[in-house]
Amino acid sequence: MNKGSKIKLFLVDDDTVFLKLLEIEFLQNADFIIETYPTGDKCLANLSNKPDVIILDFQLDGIDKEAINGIETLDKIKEADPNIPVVMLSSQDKIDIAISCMHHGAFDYVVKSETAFIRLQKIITTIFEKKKIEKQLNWYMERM
Amino acid sequence: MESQSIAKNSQYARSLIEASLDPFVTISLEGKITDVNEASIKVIGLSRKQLINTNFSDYFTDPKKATKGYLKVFKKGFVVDYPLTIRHKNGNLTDVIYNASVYKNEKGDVLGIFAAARDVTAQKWAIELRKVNKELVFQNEEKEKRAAELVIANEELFFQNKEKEKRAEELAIANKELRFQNDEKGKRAAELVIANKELAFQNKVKEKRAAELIIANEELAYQNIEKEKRAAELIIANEELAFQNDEKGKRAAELVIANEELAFQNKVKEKRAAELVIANEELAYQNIEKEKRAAELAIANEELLFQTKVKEKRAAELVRANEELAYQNIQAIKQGITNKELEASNIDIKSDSQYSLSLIEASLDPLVTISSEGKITDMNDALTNITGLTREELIETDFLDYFTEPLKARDVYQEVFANGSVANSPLTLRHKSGKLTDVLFNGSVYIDEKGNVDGVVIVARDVTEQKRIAKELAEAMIFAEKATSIAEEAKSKAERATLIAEDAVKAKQQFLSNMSHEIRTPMNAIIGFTKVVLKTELNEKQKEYLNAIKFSGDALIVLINDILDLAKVDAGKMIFEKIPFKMSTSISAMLHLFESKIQEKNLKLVKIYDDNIPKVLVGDPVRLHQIIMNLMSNAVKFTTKGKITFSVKLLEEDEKNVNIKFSVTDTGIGIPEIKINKIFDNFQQASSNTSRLFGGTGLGLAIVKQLIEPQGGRIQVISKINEGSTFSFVLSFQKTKSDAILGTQIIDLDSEITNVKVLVVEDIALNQLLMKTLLDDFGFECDIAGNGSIAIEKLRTKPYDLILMDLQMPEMNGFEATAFIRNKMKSSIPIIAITADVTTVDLAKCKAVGMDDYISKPVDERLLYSKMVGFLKKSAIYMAPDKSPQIKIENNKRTNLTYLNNRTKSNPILMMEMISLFLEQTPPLINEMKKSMANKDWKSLQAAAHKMIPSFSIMGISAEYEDMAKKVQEYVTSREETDGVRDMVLELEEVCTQACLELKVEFNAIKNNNNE
Repeated sequence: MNKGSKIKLFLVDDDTVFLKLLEIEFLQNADFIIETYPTGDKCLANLSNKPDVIILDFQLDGIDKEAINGIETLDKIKEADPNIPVVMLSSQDKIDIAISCMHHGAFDYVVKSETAFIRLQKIITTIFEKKKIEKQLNWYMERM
Repeated sequence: MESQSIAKNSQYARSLIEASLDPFVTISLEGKITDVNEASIKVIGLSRKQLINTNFSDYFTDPKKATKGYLKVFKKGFVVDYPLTIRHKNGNLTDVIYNASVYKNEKGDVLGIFAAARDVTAQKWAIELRKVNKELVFQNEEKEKRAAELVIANEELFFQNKEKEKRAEELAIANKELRFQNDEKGKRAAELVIANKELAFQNKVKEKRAAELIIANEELAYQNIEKEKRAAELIIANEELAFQNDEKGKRAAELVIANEELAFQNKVKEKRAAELVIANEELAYQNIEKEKRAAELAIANEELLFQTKVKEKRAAELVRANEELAYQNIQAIKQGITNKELEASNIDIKSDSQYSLSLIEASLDPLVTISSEGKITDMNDALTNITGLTREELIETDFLDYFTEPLKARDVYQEVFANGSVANSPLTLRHKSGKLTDVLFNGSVYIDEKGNVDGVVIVARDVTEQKRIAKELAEAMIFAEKATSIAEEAKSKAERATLIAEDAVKAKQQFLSNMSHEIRTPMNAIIGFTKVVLKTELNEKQKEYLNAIKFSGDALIVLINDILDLAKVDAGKMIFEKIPFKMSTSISAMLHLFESKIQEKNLKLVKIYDDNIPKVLVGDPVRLHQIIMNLMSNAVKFTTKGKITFSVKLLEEDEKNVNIKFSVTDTGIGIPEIKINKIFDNFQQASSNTSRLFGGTGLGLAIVKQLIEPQGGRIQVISKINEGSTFSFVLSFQKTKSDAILGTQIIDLDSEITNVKVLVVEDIALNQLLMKTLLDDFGFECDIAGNGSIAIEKLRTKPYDLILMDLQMPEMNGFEATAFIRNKMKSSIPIIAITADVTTVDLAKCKAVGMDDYISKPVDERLLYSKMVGFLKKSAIYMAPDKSPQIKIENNKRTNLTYLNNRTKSNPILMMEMISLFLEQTPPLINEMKKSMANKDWKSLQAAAHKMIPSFSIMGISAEYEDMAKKVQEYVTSREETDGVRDMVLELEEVCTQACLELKVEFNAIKNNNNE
């Protein structure tokens, strides 16, 4: 968590329209600090800003063939800091993609749709609840 | 002898050759064998005879190589150690090396080749043996090397063995460590069991909370009852509202009266100001006139003075001449000359004197001669007139007695003696009756023949009149000055009053505008809730009261909208668009809206349209509609019998512009002449009775005027009481070559659109009736379904062109029905939602279930018509001749911003950001799709389609296209149906291009609204 009580989110997507909408929705619905990046490289370059959660598009190399794709970005994030929860976004509702994301250490996998935002909100809530429970568990374990 | 020896030599050489073990052969230029020795015969196995004249090359295993060697001999003259293999006729091969040279005749001509071959078969074997030996030696060395390497490898293996032993020991240690860690894990498992128990406990807590929730539910049920109670209270509150409404109506009426009063006072003030200005001008003019007259008088005065002087001079001369004559007479007498001629001349002189005397008498100015003692010696009639005394009374009296200021008169008199004359001394003469006469006193002495001063001749000029005029002038000037200052004061007062009035007007507008906004919000609530309550079960009385509330509310809303429009014009916020539109279509569409009302009142509508008017013109069709609509509705409103004529005429036309005259003529009640100027004022109708009789706000014509004048037009009225009125105006439009933009005009009742079948899904009978009446008016066929499930049944049995869907219905509501039609029946028939209360939630839901549009209740028939025709026209274009329900009917708009509106909470800046991002991102994606399609670059095509998908739903582009993009993505991935993909890509391109165009329009609209 950051010094303040605000949660810092990284939104990474090469679809600028969707990226903007997501940003608008997050800003309107909760008091988040939002940083948006159109490429995986830019996200990685700014990991030092310590995001609490990263929401990452699966297909980042759709248009720019040279760009680093979602899974590579995910791997690099996990390499840099395995504790940052990463939620993968994709417009494809495919089980193999979802499984592949989970295998690479994603926290969850969300399909881009009208409900995507609500699901993301729920997931973020879950992330922090889980963190809290883990923290409590650790505390008890230490006592025991 | 010699020849014998030669022959012997030859024989010898021949036997030598024959004896040689090496095969010899001679070959002709043609390559044929000419001679051979025994050795050759042996090696080939053929007789000499058989060999001669055959091709030499035939006897070698490699004839080509043999020929090559043979040619080489010719080229070089010889060849040494040329290896060849001779084939024996039995197949034995003999390796030979050839040495050959040419031989020539005595002349040096080449005759052939002489070739000697050496059998090298044995020699060759020796060489090969040597080679094999060398190979063996080399292989021995290699083996030694490998032996040495094996020794090294052995050492290495030994070392590795040792390493393995070490690692085995380490593994044993690691095993122990692992066993220890296993124990640890066992412990942690036990701990997790405890944690599980904790979780179980938490579950129980949750169950408790569930129980609490049940209690909370009961609480809610109770609260519901409470709410019902409050609903009952609301009805009471409604009645209160109705009362307040009446109060408001009264106050509005009072405002109207106050307004009229203000306008009247303003006018009075303006009139007074105008009158004062005129008075001021008049005064100034009179002043100038007076000054002119004063100047003229002064000139006349001087002229008179001058004449007086001339007369005096002549009088004095005459006196002198008289004296001279008297003197001469005396002299003549003295001289004793009694000459008749002289006497005669004397008489002449006397008559001359008489003449001068009569001249003096005739003078209007009083003339008087005074002796040196101050006594009057002589005078003329004028003096007797001015003093009122007779000549006899005056003679020998003191001259000074007749002045009001004798001392001053004496001074003047003495001055005459002192200076010999005096000019223009002002004095006042007194009439015996007391009347005073101001005179200017001119005097000079007269001298007797000896030069002694005999007396004074005085001429007094009566300046009473002159003085009076001067006085009056002075007074008039003072008065004028006073009047001017009064006028100025009045003017500044008027100016102040004007300013105050202007301020008041501005404040009034501001007030009206603010008030209208403020009123509209609660009014909407009042009307909205009235409608809601009307839907509930009510008794007749309650219904009547609520209808009254609704009716008043609707009227008030119309009034408020009018006021807002007007306030907009007054504040200069009215913006006139310049877009191309079709004049005739536009106008006939509007006239159509009045047809039913005109028929209802049994009137006739005459339409005159000038065909010379260009088809498409640039202007503001919406405002033009508003103008014509106001004029038409007035005409219809105020006409009870006869006809209404609407005419459009082309007045002028040049290269760029046309001037068009529109006029609306009715045979209605007419407008009294004195009221004609007033009808364009706000809240004015020709007589206060009219509003009672005909209704209306009195703002229509004001709005008309305000809409025409800023566009450079003028409205004119000709009217006769009880005969009718003609309102006409001229507007200028630009010509254009571009086509009219579709959708901006109200769509005409189109003859193409016939046979339209509409399904109305509505549960309330009254509304069913209303909708049926409306649709009959439009000329549409219509069926009614009481709820969603009936509607679906009907859809299955009969094809429809459009559905009007109420949302709240029993059994199956509008949302469910639409979802069913879209998802289960797979029909894309246009569905227009009819919503009672327009809230964003409802709209989003309409959009979400697949409705194409919505219209709010109470239904505006014009809006409904234009919306319906919009869909039907689209369908008509896209529909195949036979209308099968499967054929998809396209929506007229690709995009729908409801979702975006909803998401951004209608924040215009966020909306604009989103739209501009879409406009930025989409065209490159379309290009990418087209390009990759052409290049068969399936991966790029898939990526582009993929990236497009999320933005579709954001911009409200139909899910149909989203699915299409998804299909493109799938097909391309699985490499199937590439032909279908091409069509889909083309369609997606078309949709996106259209969407971009629409969004640009939306973007600008949001921007303009935001700037307002």
